[in-house]
Amino acid sequence: MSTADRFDRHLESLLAELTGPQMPAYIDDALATATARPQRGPSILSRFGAGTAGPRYRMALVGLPVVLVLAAAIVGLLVIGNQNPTPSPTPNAPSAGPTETSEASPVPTTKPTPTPAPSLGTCDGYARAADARVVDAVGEQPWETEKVVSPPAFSSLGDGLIAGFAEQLASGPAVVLIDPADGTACRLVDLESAADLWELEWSPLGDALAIAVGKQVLVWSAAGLTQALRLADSGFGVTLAWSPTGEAIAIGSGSPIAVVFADGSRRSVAIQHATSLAWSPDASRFAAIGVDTDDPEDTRRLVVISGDGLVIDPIDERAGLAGWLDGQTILAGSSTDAGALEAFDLGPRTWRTWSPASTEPIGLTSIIGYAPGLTGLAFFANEDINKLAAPMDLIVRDLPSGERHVLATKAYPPSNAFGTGAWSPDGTHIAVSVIGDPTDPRARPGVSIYALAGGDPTFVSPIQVILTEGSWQPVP
Amino acid sequence: MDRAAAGDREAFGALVRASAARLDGAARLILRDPDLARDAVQEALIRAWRDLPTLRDRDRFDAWLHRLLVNAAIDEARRRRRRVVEIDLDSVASPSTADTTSRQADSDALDRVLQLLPPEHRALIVQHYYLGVPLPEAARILGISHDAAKQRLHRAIVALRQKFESQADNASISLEKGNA
Repeated sequence: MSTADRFDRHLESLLAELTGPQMPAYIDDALATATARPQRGPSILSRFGAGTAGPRYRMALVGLPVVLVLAAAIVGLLVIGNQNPTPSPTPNAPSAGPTETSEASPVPTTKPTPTPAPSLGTCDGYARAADARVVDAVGEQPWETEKVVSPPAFSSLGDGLIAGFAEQLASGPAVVLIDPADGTACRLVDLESAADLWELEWSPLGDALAIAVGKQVLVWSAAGLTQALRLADSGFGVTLAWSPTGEAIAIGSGSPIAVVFADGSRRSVAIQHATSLAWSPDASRFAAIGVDTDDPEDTRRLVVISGDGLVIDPIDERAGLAGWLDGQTILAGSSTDAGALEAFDLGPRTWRTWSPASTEPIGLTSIIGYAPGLTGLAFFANEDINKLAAPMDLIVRDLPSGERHVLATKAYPPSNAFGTGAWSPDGTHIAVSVIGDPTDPRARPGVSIYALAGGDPTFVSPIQVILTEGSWQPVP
Repeated sequence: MDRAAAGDREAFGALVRASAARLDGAARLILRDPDLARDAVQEALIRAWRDLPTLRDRDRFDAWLHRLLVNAAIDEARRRRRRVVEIDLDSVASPSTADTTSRQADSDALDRVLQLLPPEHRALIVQHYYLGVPLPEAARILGISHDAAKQRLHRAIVALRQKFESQADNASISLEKGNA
């Protein structure tokens, strides 16, 4: 048994000893309090049994027009109640306490043009400031457990793949640019902050890169590295979403959502702990899953926020957001049927079943992400509940049919665990960050790029790129 | 389960009692305060009773109840965050080593180290190592990405190991020697 396994078992037994097996004395009172309250009625879906398909659900809704009209009226009132009658350039969320922000630098204006330039999507766009030494570290430097790779992100044209890499948790991460065509990589920029690298997000035209690291959101472009936002609380992580026009970035974190505009102005939205953000195709609004700053219950809700950050439209209690099916329809996880997706139509403000639940064992999957256009969902699944770091199968589900395709069995490289990843813009490739198994000295962190057409993946390990001096700079 | 979902209080009580010690233990580990833990368990039970009729996959009742409990505990921690004094882990001295040659010392050390972690980190450790929740599911419960969960769990475990190793060095015991 490895040291790590022994430690894990030791920890499990100590935690059990700390709490003991005794029944809490208050349980009878707690039960009495709980059951004194009314129960909710059974789910509409349950009337039709498990696995109810969309049409049946729609039939059920037809029978509930009065309820829906009332619900729409209530939601409408809530929307009005959330409107800010006196917008200011950077209003603070009520009762959210000190949030962001200071030291903002303008987000590069990236209005769509036919020929965007310069592109940050290729290493050719960079002048080399100093020689870089390329070393295959396998066998030379067994990596340490601290080495971390952040989720990768494709450029909008698919010609560049970015990933973050930290030598050690105590050191600042580096951002590495990878050519997905051949897997070659160059080291783009070293971040000084010794903090978690949460997310990397290309601007729609690929001419800027938003970097969420620690409590900062930075923007890397031809102008260099600038700070877009400083957060009061990163919480469990920071998530980013560029508007489709590239004129704003929505930022979710432990703090209220911030929208940073191209001119450097910012707006704070009274929704905190946001973990999912998705802009509508026309950039007029974005959906988010988060907690209203004034909600004493801290309920996680799906909300739709106007692109200027002024209007919050609360939709429903939800935990997962997939994205926009079109300009009027949002896909989100079912509140009662784990793994199923439901569509919310903003016009009639109704939910409908859209894709059935996965047949994968619950809790043994790691979602990679949704394909462009929400035509598929990629995820890893592991049948062995006790093997967190075991090889996993890479699976793609067609949406909305739910048809399942195994893209790779015990996916490469062996003995490594997989993090989250990204689809290429054309939906033909999936890039996945790989964090190595700490007990396997051969394992190393990197990015694996899989083709949906099959074949061996391309594996890129930033550990192979060791910068001797200087750094790479974008060509002005 | 069906009886409880149909409003049978005794049936619901029987279901909950089977998990009550685990729920209370998890809440106490996350919140480090028995009164707050009681509040979290109470809230989880209220939601469980209220929403049980809408739970479609009733085979997953235990996992669902764990999720309600962890969410309630995190909510409780957020509400009380102003009372929490977070301490830099590195600034804390190693535990006293005078009597650390026992399993009780390990337990005490763990208790102290857990106290130093933010409640969200404790929730990850408790879910994974105490409730047996796989990490992807724990990440979903906390509303964070799998990557973020891995990073956080990794940081917390490294910190725990360092504290244990420091203690072991001082007291001539070691996890390497099969203390588990």
